[in-house]
Amino acid sequence: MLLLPELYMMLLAIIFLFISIGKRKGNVVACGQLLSILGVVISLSSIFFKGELFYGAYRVDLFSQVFKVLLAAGYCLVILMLGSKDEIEHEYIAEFYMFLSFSTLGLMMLVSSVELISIVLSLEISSYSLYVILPLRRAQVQVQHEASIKYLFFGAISSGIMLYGMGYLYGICHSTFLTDIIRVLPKFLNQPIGILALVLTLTGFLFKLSLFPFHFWSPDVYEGASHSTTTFIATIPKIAAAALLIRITSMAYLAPPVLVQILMVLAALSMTFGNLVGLVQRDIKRLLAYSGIAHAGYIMMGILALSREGNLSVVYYITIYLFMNLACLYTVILLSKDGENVTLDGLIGLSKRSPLLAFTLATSAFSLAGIPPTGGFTGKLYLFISAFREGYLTIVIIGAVNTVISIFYYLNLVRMSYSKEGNSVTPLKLSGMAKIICLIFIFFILAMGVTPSSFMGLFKHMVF
Amino acid sequence: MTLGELIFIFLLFVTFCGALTTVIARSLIYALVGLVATMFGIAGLYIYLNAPFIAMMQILIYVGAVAILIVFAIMLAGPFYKKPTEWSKVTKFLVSLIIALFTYLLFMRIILHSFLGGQDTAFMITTKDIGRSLFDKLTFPFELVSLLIVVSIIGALMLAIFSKDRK
Amino acid sequence: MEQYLVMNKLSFPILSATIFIPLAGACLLFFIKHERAVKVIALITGIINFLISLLLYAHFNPDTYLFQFGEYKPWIPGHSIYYALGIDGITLFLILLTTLLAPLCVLCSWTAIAQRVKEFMFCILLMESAMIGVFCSLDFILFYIFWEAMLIPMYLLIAIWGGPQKDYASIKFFIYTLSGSVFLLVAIIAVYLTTGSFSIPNAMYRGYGFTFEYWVFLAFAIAFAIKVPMFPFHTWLPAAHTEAPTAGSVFLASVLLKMGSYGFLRFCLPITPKASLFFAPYIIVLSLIAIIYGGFVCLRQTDMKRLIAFSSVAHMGFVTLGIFTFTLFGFQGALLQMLNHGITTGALFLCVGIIYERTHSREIFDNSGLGKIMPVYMGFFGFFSLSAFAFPGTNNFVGELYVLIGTFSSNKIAGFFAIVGALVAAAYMLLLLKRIAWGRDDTRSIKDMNVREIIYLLPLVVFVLWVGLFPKPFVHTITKTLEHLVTEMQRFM
Repeated sequence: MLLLPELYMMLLAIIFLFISIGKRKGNVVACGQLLSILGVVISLSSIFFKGELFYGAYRVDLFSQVFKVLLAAGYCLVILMLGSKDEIEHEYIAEFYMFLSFSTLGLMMLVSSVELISIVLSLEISSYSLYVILPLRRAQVQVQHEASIKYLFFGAISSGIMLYGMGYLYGICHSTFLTDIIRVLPKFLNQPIGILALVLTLTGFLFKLSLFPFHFWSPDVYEGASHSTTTFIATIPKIAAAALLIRITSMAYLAPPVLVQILMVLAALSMTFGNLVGLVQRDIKRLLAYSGIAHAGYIMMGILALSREGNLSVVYYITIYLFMNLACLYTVILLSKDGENVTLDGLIGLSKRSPLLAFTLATSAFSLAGIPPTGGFTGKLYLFISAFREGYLTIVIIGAVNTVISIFYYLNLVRMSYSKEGNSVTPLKLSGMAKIICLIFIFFILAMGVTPSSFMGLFKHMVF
Repeated sequence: MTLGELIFIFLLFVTFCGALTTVIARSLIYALVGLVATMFGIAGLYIYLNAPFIAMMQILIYVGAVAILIVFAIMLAGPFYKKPTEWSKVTKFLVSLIIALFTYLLFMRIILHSFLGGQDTAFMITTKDIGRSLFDKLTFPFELVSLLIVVSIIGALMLAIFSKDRK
Repeated sequence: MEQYLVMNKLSFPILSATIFIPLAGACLLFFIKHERAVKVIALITGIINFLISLLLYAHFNPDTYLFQFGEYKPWIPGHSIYYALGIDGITLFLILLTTLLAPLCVLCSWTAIAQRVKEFMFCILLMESAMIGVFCSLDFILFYIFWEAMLIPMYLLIAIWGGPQKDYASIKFFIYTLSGSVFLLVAIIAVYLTTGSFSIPNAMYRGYGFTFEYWVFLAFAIAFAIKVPMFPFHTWLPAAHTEAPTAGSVFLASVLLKMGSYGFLRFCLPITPKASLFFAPYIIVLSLIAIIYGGFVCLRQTDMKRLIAFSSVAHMGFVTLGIFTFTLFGFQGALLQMLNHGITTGALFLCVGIIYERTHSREIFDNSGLGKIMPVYMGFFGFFSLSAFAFPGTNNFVGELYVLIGTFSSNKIAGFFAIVGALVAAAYMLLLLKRIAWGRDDTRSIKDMNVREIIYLLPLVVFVLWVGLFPKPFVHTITKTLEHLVTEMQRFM
């Protein structure tokens, strides 16, 4: 029963497959909501499982199980947030759920895989499902096609580069098992070949995280895909990518400074680029895409510390990032009319139309900007400390400057919804479910800011 | 010069000429033929490196499948009577030359600074090993492949129906 | 950490109580529909908190420089972050000032705020909570959280209930202050990695290397200089002050600006003494520029709020001047001046708020000639104006005198320029007073102040006279802490 969360996710996919084949498509949404909540419960119940399967290719430990809980929670929230909004073609809603389940399944297996081929295949299972659901969007004619083609192409290229790097890893270590690689790799880390292999291998995950040179897909995909697909792509694969970055870089604790330098340059460029371009965005989804690029840079600050503490802060940050990003995107989902994208002007008067939603948006925007007492601040503090402790003052200062730059556009979100007065004020009715989701977001964002120790207590035992 | 070295040089020559043809040929079909020659050359290099299985795979997959796919694509897309003129531009040629040289130097540097010493360089895998490990150590990825295929088949079907609906 | 603290001996954690009672009151507001009830509850919360904070004064022991009423609990164990609170002579009166002003702010917004009353009161109470938190925290992270958390309600106060240019003013305020404090965070991390803990007292007087102090001081000083605001960083202040609603202006002027000078006293001097000495001449020059420049700008203002805002720049110049003389008189004067400025400028903003509610204009011209129409109002306004330019017998006179004594004892030229600034202050305040009281013959019928308005100005009047005529209790309470600071600083001179 070690595979309980994965098996359940596969069961979900099969259930939705049968629903999509069947004639009656009555209550897919409600069914999906119930089943996905159960999914969170099941992954929570299996959080302390431990063991190895398939000759050591699949490792179930606290690290992977915590990430599985996060993935299941993200999946559940995405499905709950989709609610009754009809921006996906109705006939394809069951298929949409099915591919979301497949994608989550792939990511769950990804965080447990400790063998290169399994890693690639799990990642591809997740990506293929996303390639397929990208074009499913109502009321739009062209954008989603561009988005899906871009995602497919860049995804394929980055997978190719990653495989290339893994080929080198296999070539120098003669094994695809991470346990073997970790024994042999340190001997090669002072040679270009070892660094090359590692950096190329990281590419696939940097792509998912949308770090600077691999970010080209993200603004267009965010803009073009339907809101719920965007919500999924913007958060869930990033969690798994962070997990794998931790797994792979933890093989290179003894790496020479050049590896850190490479990662540092990427992180700095990513933050600066994301934040500067984010300043001029009007479309909120595009804005969040650039904010995502900047946040990938912040997350790399923890990775490049190449220390246990750095990894810990990455886990913490990606967790809070899940909540704050989802909260921001939830505003977009609720505000959009007929599945259109929401611009900054669309936020005008939000605090009068729906105070709770405006408050949710404000909390998440302040958290994304990293202002206490939200979780975004605590996460960023951990990242800064871990990078600083290893002596990388430069990147900390660049990160601090970037925080200031990013304030402009995050504050814009708050400003639009609070201080601009619109002429037409039609109240926005939130359903009971929507209110509960908003409160969940607010609770987690504030709780992770004020009492980080409760989360840290768990995370501390999982990283290596 | 031994016979082995002669064969090696011949294979290199085939690969290199094929690659060059692929890039500078004016007709797409010639370019494709060049590509096929490159694939054969690389397969030969694999045999020379004592890896017959990979060589077979190379021929099967790239020559047998990928090249045929490209032929189909060319035929479906229609005849190209007009010559592609891109390569006549000197600047583009220069740029590509610089990039190629840079990559070459980079790889030279990496290879020269890497020494795989201490490793058992006689590292041979036979088809028997591959078959065994697929059902032994690598069962999990082997099973994952089936899942991957399922996902892609369902996805392809759905997209086909979806695009039909749209029309 | 314990060695710096005198633990709380009262039957309840009094500092936590003063921090969290407003917060609890704010949360309570969410469950109340009726507008009047909201105001009453906010007022009662404020008054209760003030009464509790009076206990602080009653039980404060002026004979020790240690942090009193200490509370100390682990909070984030992995990084040795503690929930550590405590106050000393520097912070005691700042906390009292905050708790005093909060109910006054509620009172002054009683009718001025017509829409979204609940949210407004929520912001006010949240502000109070965060500001007290800033003054009490003895842990860097706790301090930083309160420091930044304060920005959000202040931003909302300006952005929602502000004047016509609220959008511009609020954004400018937010970005200015936040960009300063990000470097504060970097400096905090640097100090943490050197000392191994986030405890503030633990980081004091440790004699780090000069280069380290140099950079840490700069990072600290930028954050605090923006908050004070010192001369080149002051541009956010007039906009924010002018556009904010009255309660917001009062909080801004009276408490928020004090956080900058408090930061200098609590962080820059004790943690980076050598760098403070090194940078003192530059800071003194900037303070003098602020005093004189602020004064001259005031002479040309036509907007009452803007005038008072610029006079804040000048007054805060005296505070930073006092701090960087490194003498006991300077420190005492600076601290007194922080309190005085809080009271006087807060009162002036309240006065402007009162007149704005009636004439809906802040222009001096629109409000001139009120002497005959609103005699009671003019009485109060005149009194606080006198106090603002340090008329003998009022609070500012004592503060400025201390600062000037301190300045002259360390640097005569600086003292000379400071006196010029004080003269300009008299000029602009009297000019304002003249225009408002006698500016033109006016026969408008404007209602004079009502009882509610008199009630919330009276405590401030009492305070102005008390400090002006009998400053001994105040000076006595703060002296021990400041003496300790002076002796410690002398080790590095």
